Amino acid sequence: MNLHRFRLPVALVLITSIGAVAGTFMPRSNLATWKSGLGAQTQIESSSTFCSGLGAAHTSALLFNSTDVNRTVDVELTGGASVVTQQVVLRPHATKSISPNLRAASGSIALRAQIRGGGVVAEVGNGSSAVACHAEGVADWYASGLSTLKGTAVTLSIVNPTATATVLNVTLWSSLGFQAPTPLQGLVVAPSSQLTVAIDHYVVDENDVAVAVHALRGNFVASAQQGSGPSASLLAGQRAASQSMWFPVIHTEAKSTATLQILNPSTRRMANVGVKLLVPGYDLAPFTVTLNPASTASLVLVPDSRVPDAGIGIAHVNADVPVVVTLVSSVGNDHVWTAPSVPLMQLAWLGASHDASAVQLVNVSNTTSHVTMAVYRGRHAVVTAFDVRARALASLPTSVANATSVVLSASSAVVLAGPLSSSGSEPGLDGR
Amino acid sequence: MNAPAVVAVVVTTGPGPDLEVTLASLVEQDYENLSILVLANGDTSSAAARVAAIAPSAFVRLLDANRGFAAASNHVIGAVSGAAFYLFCHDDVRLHRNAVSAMVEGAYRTNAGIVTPKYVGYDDESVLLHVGQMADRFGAVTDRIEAGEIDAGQHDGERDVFVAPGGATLIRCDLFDSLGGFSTSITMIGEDLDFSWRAQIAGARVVVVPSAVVAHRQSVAAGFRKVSAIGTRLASLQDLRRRHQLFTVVSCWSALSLLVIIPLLILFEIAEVTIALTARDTDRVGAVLQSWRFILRQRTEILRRRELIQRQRALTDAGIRLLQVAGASRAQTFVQTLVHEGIDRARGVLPDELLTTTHSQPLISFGGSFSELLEYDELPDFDDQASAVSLRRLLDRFKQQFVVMALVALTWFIGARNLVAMHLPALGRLAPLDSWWANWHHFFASWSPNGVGSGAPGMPGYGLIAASGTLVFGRMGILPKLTLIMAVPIGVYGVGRLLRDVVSNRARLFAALSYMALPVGVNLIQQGRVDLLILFAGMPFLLRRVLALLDVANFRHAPYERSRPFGSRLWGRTRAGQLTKASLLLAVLSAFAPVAIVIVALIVTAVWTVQRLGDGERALERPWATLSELVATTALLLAPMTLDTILAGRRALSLFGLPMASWSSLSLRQVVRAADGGFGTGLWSWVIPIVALTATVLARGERRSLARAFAATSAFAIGLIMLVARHLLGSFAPDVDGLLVVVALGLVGLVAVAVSALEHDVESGRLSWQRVVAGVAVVGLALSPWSIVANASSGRYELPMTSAAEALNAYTPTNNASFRVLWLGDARALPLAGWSVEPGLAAATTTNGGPNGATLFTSPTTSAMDSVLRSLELVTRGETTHVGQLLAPAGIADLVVLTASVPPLAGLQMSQPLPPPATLLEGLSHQRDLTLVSSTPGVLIYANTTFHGIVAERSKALATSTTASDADSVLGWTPVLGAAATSGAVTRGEVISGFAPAGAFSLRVNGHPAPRTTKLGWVGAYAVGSGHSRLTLNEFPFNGILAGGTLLAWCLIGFGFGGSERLTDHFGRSSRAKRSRR
Repeated sequence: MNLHRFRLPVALVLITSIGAVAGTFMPRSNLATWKSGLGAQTQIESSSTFCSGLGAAHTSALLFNSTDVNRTVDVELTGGASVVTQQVVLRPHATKSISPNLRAASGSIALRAQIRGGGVVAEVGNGSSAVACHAEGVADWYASGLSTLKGTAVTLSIVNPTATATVLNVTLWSSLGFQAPTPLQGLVVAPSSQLTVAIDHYVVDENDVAVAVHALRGNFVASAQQGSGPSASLLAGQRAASQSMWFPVIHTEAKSTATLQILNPSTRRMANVGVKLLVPGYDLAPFTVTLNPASTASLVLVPDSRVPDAGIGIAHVNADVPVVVTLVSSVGNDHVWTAPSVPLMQLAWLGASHDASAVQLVNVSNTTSHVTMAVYRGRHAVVTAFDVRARALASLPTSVANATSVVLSASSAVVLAGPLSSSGSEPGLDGR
Repeated sequence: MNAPAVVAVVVTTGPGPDLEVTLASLVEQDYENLSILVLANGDTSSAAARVAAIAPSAFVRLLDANRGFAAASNHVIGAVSGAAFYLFCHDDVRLHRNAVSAMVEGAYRTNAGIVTPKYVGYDDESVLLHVGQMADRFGAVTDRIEAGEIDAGQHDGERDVFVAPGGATLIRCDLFDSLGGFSTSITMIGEDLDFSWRAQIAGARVVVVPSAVVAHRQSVAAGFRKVSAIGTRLASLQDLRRRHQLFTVVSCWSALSLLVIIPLLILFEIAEVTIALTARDTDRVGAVLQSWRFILRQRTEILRRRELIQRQRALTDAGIRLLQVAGASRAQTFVQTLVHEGIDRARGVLPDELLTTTHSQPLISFGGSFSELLEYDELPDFDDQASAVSLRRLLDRFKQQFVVMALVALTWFIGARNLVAMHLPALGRLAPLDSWWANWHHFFASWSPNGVGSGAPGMPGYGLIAASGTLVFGRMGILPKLTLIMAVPIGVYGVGRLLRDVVSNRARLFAALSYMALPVGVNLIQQGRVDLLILFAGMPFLLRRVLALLDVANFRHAPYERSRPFGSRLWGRTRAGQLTKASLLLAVLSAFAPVAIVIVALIVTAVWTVQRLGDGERALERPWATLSELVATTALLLAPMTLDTILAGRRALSLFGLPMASWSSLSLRQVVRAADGGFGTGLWSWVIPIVALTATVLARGERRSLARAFAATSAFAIGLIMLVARHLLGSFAPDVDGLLVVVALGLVGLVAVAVSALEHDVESGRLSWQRVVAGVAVVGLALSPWSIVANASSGRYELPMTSAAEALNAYTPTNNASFRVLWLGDARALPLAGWSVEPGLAAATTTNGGPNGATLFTSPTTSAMDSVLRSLELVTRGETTHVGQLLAPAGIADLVVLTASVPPLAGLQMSQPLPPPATLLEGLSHQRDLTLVSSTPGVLIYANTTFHGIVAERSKALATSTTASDADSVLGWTPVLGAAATSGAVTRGEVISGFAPAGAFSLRVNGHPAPRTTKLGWVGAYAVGSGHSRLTLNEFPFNGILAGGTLLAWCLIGFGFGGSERLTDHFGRSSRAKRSRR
């Protein structure tokens, strides 16, 4: 047999095989992967931020320009049929409080801010709690741990940030099980408007209520308000159920309480949830709880016999199926509902703690994080850089104390632990 | 009783050299009452003397000018009296002694008005020339005998015929006088048909009397004498025949019959012209075209004649039809010649003498594949294998091949049956074409509406479409349908031409069938890619020319002529001529699909690589110089496109195609099977690649070299596609569907080699691995054509019936504003050519609705469209939340995002998912000023809430520092100037116009130009007072000059192929005619 004649077919087969292998391993994904955070926003053409829940519980919005240049912001406040617009020029690293002065028929006001450029973040707070505003709408939203016990109102504020009508379903969980009230199915939120849903009208006198909002079309920004009057608490909620979450501020002092309110939204699988409470100087046994499908449960962290009275701890929740968790905590008589913190690489805080020693940083990644922190008092910045080892906690520099704002950049995702923001609980704003 | 008087009227021109013989034969007639009248046409100086020498009793009349046979003959009216019959004779006939008496007897016996004799050869009287003639309804004259038929008395019966051919025709005098003689508009050729037809309308019989024998030299028809009558200047015999036949047809039929006959005739003549063009038979094309011109010139005479004929009519059209032959003679002749002698002979490519040299030099041609005389019948096949006996004769005979081809053609046209009448959806490049004239306008225009407007030169494709429009008489809708239906068959024919003289006809047949069976062609139909279908049709022809230029073995017919002058007919046979022909073809293909240039470069590279790496491969002839010359000439021929590309800067490479997304790019499995679309996804499509692979194993000798060349071509194309599909070559991303055509060509080339190898290289004897592979090849070859049948089921090759563009009308603005629609999606999903935003995302705009003929071609130059593309980049990067505002200056009302080739309709149309980048969909969903108005599978439509029309006004002027990012840029505008954006009322304030470049336009208010500034980066802003305004384009016609120059370049190059000689002939003939008139 003349082997020379096989050179050509063999070469062809080789070439095509190499092509096939190369083709197989070349990335072919089509996922929307944008850089997130403040750092990515400094050079962009325009951005927006949307705040819900204004007007209730004496809330106001606070805008912060995290960049070194002026930012022009067109603010639009909508309440019922009333619309008020104003233009704000934010100087570098300056903040601007927006207090709504229009009276909405529904009692809730939405804020839409169109920013020329990026790097402007906002939050809505009422002195006792705060939620971050959002740069874009979401398709799903969850919150757990709500209470409709007598005398407590739970209101859901839903804002449509786009010019496309949003159609959505609101579903509820409580001790009665899963509910999908007919009036809350196929709700339409008109373009650039808002909707308020009184959850307590549908679930009466329940202590462990969870809610989910799913957009059938369009997207939305939502938040929940619980309680009434000045004592109402704001809840940011979660964009998605998750298997790993961080709660950075767990008060373990005497007379403090901290309870995790958990929802297993899965209709088929049970959820095994474990919570590791990180208290500096202590190694605590994990807390565990098992949830049936489509059910809610409470897990009390404080008080608990295994938790020392040692100040502030950090809770890390792990679950084998995605769950929704809210921390309900109290120091004294005020209850605060807190959503889990999202580990981020760029963060901003508005206002800062008087007690810098209480603030700690958790590096949730598996690599050492190089952290740069710019602490502003007015326009003057004190920049500090330090490293945090993988999966470790670190105290923040003392310069954080009495800062008007803080901007942090880390080389890997971090979560901040400690009362930092104007409300004392806001874990950080990422601008998106 | 005396015999009836007969006057023999001899019309002599020149006079001819055979005049004496003619006269002598008349003098010797046994008819007792015969007079001779000689009418001397033209040069009359020696006529009288020559006549007197032979026939002293003959009358001679000298005519002052040669006005042709008919005009001369008509002099007998009034000049001759008392005669019963005229015998009109040419001066090159020789009558047998009893001819006149036999004809007269026949006339009385049959009561005929016209009697024609049996014509025999002048030099060999045993050969029949005519025994009367027949004609069809279109005036095509046919003989009743075969050419060269020997006279054995087989036609010696008197009978009616339709035409008494000229030479020696006996006509009753009263009939001749009452019909007004011959038509003087018919100078030469065709007066016999015309008179015979009119005579029969008047009720006279035309009879052939074979006992009267006349030998006829046919000096003019045989070319012994030139056509010289007045009115025949520059006309060939073919010209005269065609125009006079048409003249007779339009004169003799009634108006009602003409309503049917003329359209049919036009249809046949279009087919004839098309075939003639493929054969480069310009004389035939010219004859057809000038016949219609002649009719137009003679319209007054025709009307007069029609009136006269109707007055004399004794026989209805139906009666005339009974006397004529059925059908269309010319078409029948063509088909018969095609069947018996092959297409080349049928369309007149091969000279007769070649047909007789089949044994010494085998005539292997596609057309010749239908010939019985070919050498491949003798190919050594599997001689002594009993099992192979049947295979040996498989498709080796002409009739078998013909049947296969006929069946395949039938299958193809059955498969395309619904394409004929269906509404074409606006997908791919199937946007409705503008009118013939509008396409010329686009070619010469100084401004095009592409993007947000562009002053870039018009793309040459418009010129070619406009030129094609003339061939279909402006019925532009026919062109895309013709392309959809005919591109694949033409490509198949091209494969036959590609492999001509290279492999056996059987191998060519299989290769041609494989080209049709591969999914690439039908997928292009399904995607509506008429641009690439043109490439598919033309690429085999171009490949043949390129390989011939490179002197790849067997691809060059004969050595090129050495140094022939530009303009001579033989210049086309020189290397320069051949190179120019290839360049012309490349230019035509590139005008529609510029990727053709890349393909040629790829082919040259592949063949060169094989030659360099192979053992003892034949050296190529100046490959790189050839490639450079080809590209340079093509660039010159497509000068507007070349300039566009140069001006495009970093986007220049997008001319060849736009980058694909990695997630929707082709897999290697698809590429190897040349399948990008709904066809070719099953196991069946592996058959041809497998057969192709066997060629690389089985082939030996020259066939092995050929296999290497084709394999390398395919492999290089596959490699390039894989690199492009993963966008590893950056912005250089040649259209992969175009490259698939090369893959297909490589595969079918290998199929041909495989068949050839089976014929020559498979050893006989015991079972071996060769025979196993050969068995695989044979099975594959037998299976390969079946996919043609499978593809034909829908009757439209799955061309969708509707597209996203059809859904758009419901969402157009209702405020009488001019607007643009921004189309976004994978480049393969867009219904028009666009620009790349990022890999997998292309953008294009249309004005006031869906795609139309003004945006068929997109220049790579973006100019102000850059602002739109940058805005889209911001969306995909999540860096803007008010893209509607950024797009508002361009007047963009809607954004149409295509996520599939067409909207899927279960059971009705196939849809290929072509998702755009997820970042685009995500980004658009977060825009504050876009409303999602429609979300259906395959298409999303967003309305821009800040839309204010392309031209808008407001009272407060924009600050010069305002940018599109400022909210003020979209506040308070009202559309003006209506949907056409040309004129209308404006009020005091500022008008902005989203037509770029701003400097090319001016706005006149009440006749006065409004001052213009440029705002928002590129938008024209005009300070206006109240009044009526008009927006006008004021651009120096540089593009028109460039287009005109390009057209001139094409004409000049066309002139190179014999133009100089034709001009010399023209002026030579013209001056001779002038001299003769003087």
